[in-house]
Amino acid sequence: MAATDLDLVRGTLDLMVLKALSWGPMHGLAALRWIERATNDRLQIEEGALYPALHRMEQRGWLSAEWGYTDANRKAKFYRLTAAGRKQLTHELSRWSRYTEAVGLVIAAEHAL
Amino acid sequence: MTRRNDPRWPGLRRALHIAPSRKGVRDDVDEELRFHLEGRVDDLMARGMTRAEAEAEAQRRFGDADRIGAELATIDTAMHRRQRLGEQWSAIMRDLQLALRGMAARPGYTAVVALTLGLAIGANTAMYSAVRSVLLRPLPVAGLDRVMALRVDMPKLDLLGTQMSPAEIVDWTKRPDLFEGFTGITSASMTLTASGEPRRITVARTIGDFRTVFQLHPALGRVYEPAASEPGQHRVVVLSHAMWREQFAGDPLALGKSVILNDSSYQVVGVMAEDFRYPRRAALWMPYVLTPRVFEPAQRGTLIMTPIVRVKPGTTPEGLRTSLRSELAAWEERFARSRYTDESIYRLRPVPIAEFLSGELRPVLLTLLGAVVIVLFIACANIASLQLVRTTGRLREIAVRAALGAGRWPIVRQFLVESLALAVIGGLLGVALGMIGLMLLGRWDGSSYEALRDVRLDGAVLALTTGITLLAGLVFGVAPAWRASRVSAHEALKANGARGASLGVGRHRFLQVAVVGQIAMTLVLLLGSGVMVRSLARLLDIDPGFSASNAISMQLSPPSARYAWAQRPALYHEIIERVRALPGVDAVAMTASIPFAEMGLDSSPFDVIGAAPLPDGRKRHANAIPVSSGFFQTMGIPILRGRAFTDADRADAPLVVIVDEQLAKEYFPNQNPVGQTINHFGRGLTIVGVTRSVHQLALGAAYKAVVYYPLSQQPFPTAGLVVRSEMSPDVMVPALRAAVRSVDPLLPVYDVQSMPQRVERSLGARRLAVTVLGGFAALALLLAMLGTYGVLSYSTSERARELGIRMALGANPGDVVTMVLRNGLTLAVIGILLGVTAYAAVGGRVLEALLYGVGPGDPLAMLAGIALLSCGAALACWIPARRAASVDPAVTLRAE
Repeated sequence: MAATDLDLVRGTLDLMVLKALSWGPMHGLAALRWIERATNDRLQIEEGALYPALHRMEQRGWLSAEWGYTDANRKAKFYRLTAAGRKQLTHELSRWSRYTEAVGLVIAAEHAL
Repeated sequence: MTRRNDPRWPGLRRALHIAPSRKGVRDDVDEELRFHLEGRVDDLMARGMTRAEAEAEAQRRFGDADRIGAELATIDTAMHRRQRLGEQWSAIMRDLQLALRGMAARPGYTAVVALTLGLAIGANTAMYSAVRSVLLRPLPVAGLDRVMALRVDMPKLDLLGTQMSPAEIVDWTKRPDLFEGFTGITSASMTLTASGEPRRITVARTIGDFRTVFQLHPALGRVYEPAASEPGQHRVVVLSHAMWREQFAGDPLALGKSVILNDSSYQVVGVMAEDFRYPRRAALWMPYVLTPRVFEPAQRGTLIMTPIVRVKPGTTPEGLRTSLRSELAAWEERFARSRYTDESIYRLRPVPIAEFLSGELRPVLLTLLGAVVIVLFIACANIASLQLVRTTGRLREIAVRAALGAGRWPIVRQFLVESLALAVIGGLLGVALGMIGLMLLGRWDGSSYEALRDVRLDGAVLALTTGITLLAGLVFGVAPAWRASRVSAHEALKANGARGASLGVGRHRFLQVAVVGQIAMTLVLLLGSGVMVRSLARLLDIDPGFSASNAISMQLSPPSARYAWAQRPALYHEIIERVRALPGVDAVAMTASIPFAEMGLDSSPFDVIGAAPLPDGRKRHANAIPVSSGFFQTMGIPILRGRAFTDADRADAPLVVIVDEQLAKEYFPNQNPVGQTINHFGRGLTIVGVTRSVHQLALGAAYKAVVYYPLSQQPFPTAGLVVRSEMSPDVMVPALRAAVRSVDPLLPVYDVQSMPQRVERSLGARRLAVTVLGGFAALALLLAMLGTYGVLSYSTSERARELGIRMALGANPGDVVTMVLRNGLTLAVIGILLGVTAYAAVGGRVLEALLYGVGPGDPLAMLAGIALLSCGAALACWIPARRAASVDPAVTLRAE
């Protein structure tokens, strides 16, 4: 994978995780399941990259983590979006739409300028 | 899993300052990843895979779990560390808030502590600044430690620390193998003619490698070459920075312009860097012109230049002295004289320039430096004991915290933060007070202490002050913090309710040591300033030899371009007549040397006609001072034998002189000098009178033989005018200036001072030492009394119950007073014994250089110091004793 592709995927992974967590606190696996469902399994998430992303975002203060129990009474680490994380999500969303818009324009261009 | 590692309680864990261990972090990570994999396996099995297939697929999708686990652990560890730091920081901030709130709640106590520390740190700041700029770095010169002045001693002529002739300096400059640079510098007064009245300014004239020796980097232009001293060169000057601003308003175009000095024009070639001030009063520097006359053999006795050298790296003053001696041995052959090799005749003594420049300020500053360090120790001991006493009031609070599980560190930290906060407040106050102190020091009225005027607080001193402040905070913070950290909940909570726990025996020992230490150190300062006061009193008792009151003196300097040598007596006589005519003038005279005016006395050899030469090659020598006929009457100097000068001692009359008592004693023992003839400067002079000796430079200095000449028979360049008048100087001085101006409006008048002022200024260093040391001693006494009082009040309040029982059982208040007093005075006596010992061991030796007429162990000063301290200690003990005795025992016992 080229460096730019990786950056793209990493950046979008953060965005997707933040978006997933905006629905409420969940553990890493739940966030992954949410993304898979939301994309109809069309996006292959590299699962190994998910946890470093979560921990890094926790370190940056976008997420806070707490151990809790699942419905099946299984102990799991739950992540919650902090205020800073919510702000980051907004920021990432607008950046993403600017980006896709720009790429879209390029793709839609019909003649040489 | 143990409770400590229970991951369900991260908040609590953090609150208790329990950091997750590295292993704990990894366990958490593994747990999280296991949960993920197990969940994934469930997902996959739900889609129809077997367990084995699902596990393989989950692991494939996840990748290298070990590597990811390690990565997560690293992230988490860094995160925890940062959190811990942040938590420590916010805890310190919380402690600081608490401390500041606590200080605000006790403004009196806080003010006393801050002021104590502020005064001590302020005194230290000021003294470090003075020591740094006067003793350590008097000139902004690279490699200052390699710059040395050479003192020339000629013991047989009684000439110590004298200078060199220009010719000898030239000889030495031809020896680059011995030095990196050799220069000679002499100061002179010249008349600067510019807009307004002509002014006398100090001019430095140099020969040789002036630029190299001082590594000069002028602010503007250049410094002239050594070759500029050759005769027939352009006349050039380098202006001082101040002169440049004054005369040329700091205009860079000043280079190339001229200044008029003694009616000749000199071209400005450079402006000296602002902070280069050597010689201190120099307004400008110029080459000393080496006329052929300079090299005449007779001129080798004109010792007017200070030799200053830059030695090669690694040369010590001692090493230089040795190599100079062997060098002089070679000279002996060249000049066929035995003068140079024999150190009893001629000796060159290298002195590091910093020491040379600081002169008599050096012992003063070193003594005061020692004193401020003592003051700082006293302040720290004082605050430490006050803080420790105050800690006891808080032991309950601490015990409660300890019981609730707070560790030792947070408690220690709280105390240290509080002490450091106090120290910082004291330090800030100290810097402010130190700056005020420097301002006062700079205004110190002593003619030779201009060095103190330029003392500034610089970065190095501020850094030192900051260090000292923090160290002080630690020193007086550690005792209470240590005490507090050792409180066990059990100990404090079991102790009797109302007042909480007491300090216990060990802590009492600490307080006692603090009190004894403060008393001992205070006594050292009291004894030191006591002998200094006695020494100053002795000096003030000395009769200068003339009557100083009502006499005003000033210097005038007729320009040589307009007044030939022979015309000067007439000019001086005219000035005398004009001044005599002024109302209110009782007597007037002129002299070549006003006592205490540092007008430069030259000792010169003479012979007595008909007397055998002195044994062991010694020469008769005396200072020659021409004076007008009214001099002795005006100065109130009694004539012991013969007569004073009269107006009949004209230039064409027989040549006469008057000698002083010292000369008579030295060279005419058991004879009447009157009627004898001496040969001085090749002329036969008859002694017509003997006067009492006069101190010429300093009270208490050894007298030097003096020959007085009548003004008309010995012209002299710069004249001192002395006037005795009952009128106030405010009225008299303008009148005198006007009278001189009426004779010649362009004659510069300068250095106007009353005689008492001159005598007083000669005491500058000693007065400075006495005043400042006395101030420190007073401060120390106050602190020691406060400290003793504080500790004793505490210990009596702690014993209130015991004292109450004693009184209830029949002890009368007198007994209680005696008991408390005995307690405190025992400490005082130990402190006094220690103090006397310490003073005897070091204090006296340090002071010796500053004392006149008294030994460091002067009994009166010792008794006075001990008595003063005893009274102070007794007062400090008596107040708590009285209070303890006046309490109603019933009240005390009920309170318990």
